[in-house]
Amino acid sequence: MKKTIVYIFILSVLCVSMAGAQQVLRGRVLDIDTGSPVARATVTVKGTAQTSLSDADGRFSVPVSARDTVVFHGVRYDTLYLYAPFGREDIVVRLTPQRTALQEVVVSTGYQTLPKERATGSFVQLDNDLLNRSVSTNITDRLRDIVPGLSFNTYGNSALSIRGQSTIFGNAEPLIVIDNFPYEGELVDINPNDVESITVLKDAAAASIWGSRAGNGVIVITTRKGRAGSPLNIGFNAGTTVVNKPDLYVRQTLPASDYIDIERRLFEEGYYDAAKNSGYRPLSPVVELLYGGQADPGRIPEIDREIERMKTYDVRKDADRYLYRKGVFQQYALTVNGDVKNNNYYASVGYDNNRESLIGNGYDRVTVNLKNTFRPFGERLQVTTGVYFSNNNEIRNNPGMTGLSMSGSSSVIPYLRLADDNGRPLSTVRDYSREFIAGAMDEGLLDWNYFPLQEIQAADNRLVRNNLRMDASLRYLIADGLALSASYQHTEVGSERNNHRSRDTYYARDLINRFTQVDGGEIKRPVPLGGILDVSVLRSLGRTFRSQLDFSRQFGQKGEVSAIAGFETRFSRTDSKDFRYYGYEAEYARNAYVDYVTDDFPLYHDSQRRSSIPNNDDMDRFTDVFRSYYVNASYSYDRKYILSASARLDQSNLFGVRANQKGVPLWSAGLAWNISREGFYGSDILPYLKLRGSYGYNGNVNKSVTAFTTAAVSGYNMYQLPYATIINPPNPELRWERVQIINLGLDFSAMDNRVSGTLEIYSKRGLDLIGDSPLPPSSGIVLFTGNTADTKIRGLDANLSTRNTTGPLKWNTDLLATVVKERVTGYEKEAPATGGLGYIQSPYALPLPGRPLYALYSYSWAGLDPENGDPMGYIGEETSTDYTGIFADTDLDNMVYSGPLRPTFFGSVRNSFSYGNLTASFNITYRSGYYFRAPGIAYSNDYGLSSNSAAYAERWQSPGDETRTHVPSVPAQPDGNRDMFYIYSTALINRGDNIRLQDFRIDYRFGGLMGNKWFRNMNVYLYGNNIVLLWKSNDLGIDPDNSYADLPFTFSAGLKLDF
Amino acid sequence: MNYIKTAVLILFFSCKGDLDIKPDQGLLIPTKLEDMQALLDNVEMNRAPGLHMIAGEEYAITTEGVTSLRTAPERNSYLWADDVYEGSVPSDWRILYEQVFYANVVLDGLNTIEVTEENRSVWNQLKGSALFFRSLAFYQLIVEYAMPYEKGSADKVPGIPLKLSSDINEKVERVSIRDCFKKILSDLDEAGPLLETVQSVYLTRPSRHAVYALLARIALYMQEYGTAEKYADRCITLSPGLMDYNGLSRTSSRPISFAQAGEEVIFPQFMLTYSFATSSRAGISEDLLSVYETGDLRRIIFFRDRGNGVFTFKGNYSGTSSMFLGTTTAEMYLIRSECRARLDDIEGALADVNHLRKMRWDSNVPYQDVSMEDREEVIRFILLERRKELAMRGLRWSDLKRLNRDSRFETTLERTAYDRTHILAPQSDRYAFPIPQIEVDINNLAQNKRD
Repeated sequence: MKKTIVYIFILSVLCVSMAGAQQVLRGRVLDIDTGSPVARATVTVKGTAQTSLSDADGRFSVPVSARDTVVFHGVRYDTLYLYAPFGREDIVVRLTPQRTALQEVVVSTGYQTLPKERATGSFVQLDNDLLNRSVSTNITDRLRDIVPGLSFNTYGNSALSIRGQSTIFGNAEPLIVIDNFPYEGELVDINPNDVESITVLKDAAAASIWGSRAGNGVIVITTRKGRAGSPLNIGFNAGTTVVNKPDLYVRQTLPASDYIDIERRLFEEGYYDAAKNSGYRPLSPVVELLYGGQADPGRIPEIDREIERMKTYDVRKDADRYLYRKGVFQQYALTVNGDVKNNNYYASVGYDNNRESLIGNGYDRVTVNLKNTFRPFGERLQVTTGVYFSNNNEIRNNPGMTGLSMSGSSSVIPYLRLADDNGRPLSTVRDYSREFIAGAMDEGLLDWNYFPLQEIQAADNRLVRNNLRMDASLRYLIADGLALSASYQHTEVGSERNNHRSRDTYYARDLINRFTQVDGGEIKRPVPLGGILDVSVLRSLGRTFRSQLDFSRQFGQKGEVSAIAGFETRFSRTDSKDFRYYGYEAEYARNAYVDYVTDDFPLYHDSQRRSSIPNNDDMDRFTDVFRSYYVNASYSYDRKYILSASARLDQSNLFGVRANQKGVPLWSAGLAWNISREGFYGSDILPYLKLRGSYGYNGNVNKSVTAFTTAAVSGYNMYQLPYATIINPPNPELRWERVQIINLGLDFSAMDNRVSGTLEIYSKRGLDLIGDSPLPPSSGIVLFTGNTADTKIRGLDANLSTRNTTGPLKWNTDLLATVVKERVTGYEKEAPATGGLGYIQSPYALPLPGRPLYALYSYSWAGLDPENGDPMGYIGEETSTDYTGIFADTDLDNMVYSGPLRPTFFGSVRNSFSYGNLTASFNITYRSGYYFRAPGIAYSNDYGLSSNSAAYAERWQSPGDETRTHVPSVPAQPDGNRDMFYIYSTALINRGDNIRLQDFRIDYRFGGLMGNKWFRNMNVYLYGNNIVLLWKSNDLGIDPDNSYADLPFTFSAGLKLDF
Repeated sequence: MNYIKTAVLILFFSCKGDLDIKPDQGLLIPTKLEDMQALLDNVEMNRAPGLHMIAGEEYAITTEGVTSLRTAPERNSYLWADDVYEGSVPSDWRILYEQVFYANVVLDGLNTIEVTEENRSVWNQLKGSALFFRSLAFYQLIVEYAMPYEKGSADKVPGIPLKLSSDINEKVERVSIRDCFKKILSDLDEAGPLLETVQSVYLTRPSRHAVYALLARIALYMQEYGTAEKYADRCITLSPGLMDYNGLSRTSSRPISFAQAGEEVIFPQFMLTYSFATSSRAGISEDLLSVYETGDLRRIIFFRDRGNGVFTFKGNYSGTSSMFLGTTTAEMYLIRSECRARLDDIEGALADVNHLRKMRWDSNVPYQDVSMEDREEVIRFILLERRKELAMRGLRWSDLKRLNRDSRFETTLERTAYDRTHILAPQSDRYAFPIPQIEVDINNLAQNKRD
């Protein structure tokens, strides 16, 4: 009985406590971005039937118990799980809007943000998810293959192009804007984790707000900031990328045995005698041995054995082992953001550490980002401040394979060894013969041997760069719809490269030795003992001020006007200084002085030559001043018709007073028609359809010319008086380069948003481009650089997104396609006097009207002569081996235009899958419509030794070979023209077309699984990049976009936590 | 209202944004006098054209030697070919107009600089220098690209374009040779008083001395013997010294250093680089080599045996491989001597020529002054002495053009190459080089006849 009472008591207590564990949870559901209430969100207690809906004010109430999970679900919002909110009274729940294709996207021009729906121009908006899909140290790398019209160039004078290149000699890089201000620093200084979104502006309506700097398109980067009304949010990111060693076998070189056979042949013909007789010039190890045999025939059998052994060596094996390793890139970022009493803040710290695949090279970066937005007096006044600091350290101690070549040769001897069997570093031949080095060292000179592996240890070449950006802006709401803002940005970049070649480095020992004079046992050293320190200091300063009026107002029921007008000044200055210390001892920070004046120091190795001690001192200062006025307005009626216009006037110190006064404004106008909002439109097939068009002018800057007569001191005359040469004749007519852009776009979605996309066609005409044109020489100038050239680009950008399946397994496809056809339309400089030869053999782009700027021209190929394997071309209709004759006969009309060097059709197909918390995607890219010239063999006067090409094995050797090969025979007599003809003939032209599996990513999200006890969300990802070339049109084994294996396979794994 | 005021204020508040700042500090925008001096100190200002050298009488080159000449204009000039430039722009024309351009940049720039007490002398020197350089270039253009000067017909003979401003877009046309000389002479008259009398250190800069020497040279070309004598005389008064060739090395391949030559050099010019100047196959004509008498040191010091009967020139006053083509005191003695002879002062003429000859005579060989009475004989003797002394100085072409006006002294040039004999008749149109085609095309300049 007593036992029963106790039992009941316990039970009742338990019951009471159980009953007390029931509670009604009240709160509000808000949008995380806007802070506005979310109505009709379902609030469910997991595992129970308890469900309620939020009201119009976002308020809800639901009974909960301890350890319950409450699930919030709003239409078009991500589902949120709240674990055990028990014990809290009035909570605020913020839902994140779903990122789906047709949700209202806000694009940023850097001057304003506007809903994409209201845009008339060509914008591409990249959100955080897409940018974070790929893993990289550098933010721009993440733009690869996800923006239609944007290409990464492997050829030409810019790394990136948006819709081709509309300039010839001008700056061809797109303008980068970070947080509303143009950014001229290194992009690697930006931590990608701080980037919220990127907008790419491609046409006149989008970009002309940037006026004279928008000609190449604009990339607007917006970094993350605290959101109004957002709770404290802590995020942590960690990732590691492993970078494969580059494949050194990609370049097909001569096998050691062939190489040695040629060396032997050349040796027998006395080819090396001049070098040998010079007493100092370097000879390859085999040639040294052969001379040894010549001097002492008794050693020949031993030497032959040694040479046979060398045939088994492969320098690439040693290089792969001793110069390279797997690179490891680590990236960490911690971010904190939130909103406390009208102050939203964002703070982040990032750390990157890249151990590069070249042993001894590395990079690390620390970034700190602080941002605050205050509303000290309510909503009327908003103050924003930002500080962004990054510290970058770069070490470059390993030059890679280039550090292995012998002086006077660009190729690497294939049988070199870098270390012996025990891994001890070996010396390799570089500037001098072994005999000479031994003799010099006997005379008391410093060790003159070159050990490539020790060099990496001894080198100390580092760069430190600090990048500071500070900005502040005030925005005051004068009246409803009218705001005035003023912003100021201050940037400072300081970088210092210290290349310290200590006395242990070959560079220092070599320079000291070269100048050493031995006079009867006495050693004089004009270059003092010790290290050599080269310092390059660069300091950039930028100041930008902008004031702007924003106006937006409803007119009537349906009309809406939004406009901005403003004024901006920008000043940037870069100072650089270079200097060198000799006799530098790092330990005591001490240096010695040298005699830079004497210019006839005898050189130890070559008594014929005299020289002064190399002097690196130099300084430069560049200043850019811009002053701009801009206005931009749009009118939308019933969100059906949108009209936009913008204009901008730029002035700069690059141009003379007249150009500034004339002030031709750059302008644009655009029109959009939202057809699907028309009453007559009732298409169910295409429920969303918008047509838009724009027209206008962007500008471009060319800093190489100015309106003033400019000269520079170019030398000293016979009396050592400095004299000046005129660089730029007076050109009062100088003006901005302009790009006229017409853009037509179509946005659509169909089948309940299962299919959506954008199609754009455009024409870009480069006008008044800076180009060279001939002047009558009586003007004093033969070639005039001024606004004389024109280009034209036509193209198409398309992207199509499909949601192939819905339901638990989601499969989406994003298809990107770009067509870009470029050509130069006007170029006045006459064809070089050498005619076709000038274009064909030019090492840089020569504009030719009617052709793309970057084009390949070739000699017409008539095969190999069946008799002797000579390459044949044409003189008129006749085949010929008279190469000078062929060169003379090849003019602009009969040279072969082989095609563009840059892809003209390219894009990607990205498939993404998600199932529950697992998502996976992979990107396949394609590039087409371009050509490349395969490396050929030039026999020169050494049977192709310096060409070092595996094609040697394919050469014509006997009649009949001409049917299987186009590699010419070894000529009886060296003939440079024969080499040139072959190398520049159509025989070596190949299509560049290829398809590759670029990357893949797998993500797993633990958010819903573990609830939000320790963290709200955890993401784990795997990412692989540069995976495999699936198909290429050439059968030479050459990857045209990766011919140096500089894009090795990388594999990353990482973790993302939100607290 | 207040809002608007504030708005306007903020909107147009401007940072210090000076649009006059130099974009690149390394650039020199020639606005200061020292910048202009740096422009005129440019080594290109002392360059002289060279195609007339190889077209003249001093070379005799084998077919093989002609083929070995590096550029088409050199080969074609030697053979007085129909097409000289084969589409290229001749360096001679280009460099001379470049000098004109530099001079014009300085002259236009000087107009914007106020003359003050402090800068007056520098300003004057620069203005005089620019006028001198421009006139010198114009004169050399006339010698190469216009037909000879004759007083009677000078207003009908086309000269050259006189480019007088630095505006590169300005169109130009050829003006008569009389107007050309009128401008040259008046500019030189203006330049003279502005310049320092002599350049004691920087010989490459113009002086009044250099102006007189140039005026003497031009007046001789115009056959204004009285004027030529006057200016030559002024030069000799300013600096009468001559080198004694006995002090020079007879074996050296560079027997005369520029410093040594400085004693005689009035204003130095150096020929543009052409392959014939350094080619071992571009030989001196036997005709020239044979005029030197035994005992004349110039034969030994000037010429070098390259074997195979080829002699090349080594007597450059530059002391380097570049051809010296400037004015010297010796030339002034020769001008004065010739003018005196032509003006019937035989005694004075012979005094000058003997004075010069003596300085060139081997002291180990007995020397005797020449004496003769016949005026024409004296002139012939002086002209021969002129060939000997001024060999390879770029004066033969202008001398031929001048002397061919007088049938007593005219010369028919003849050379054999490519199995053909090429002849340049004394009155040939080919004494004026063709105008570059691009000038004909763009500026519509009248082309020289080449019948």
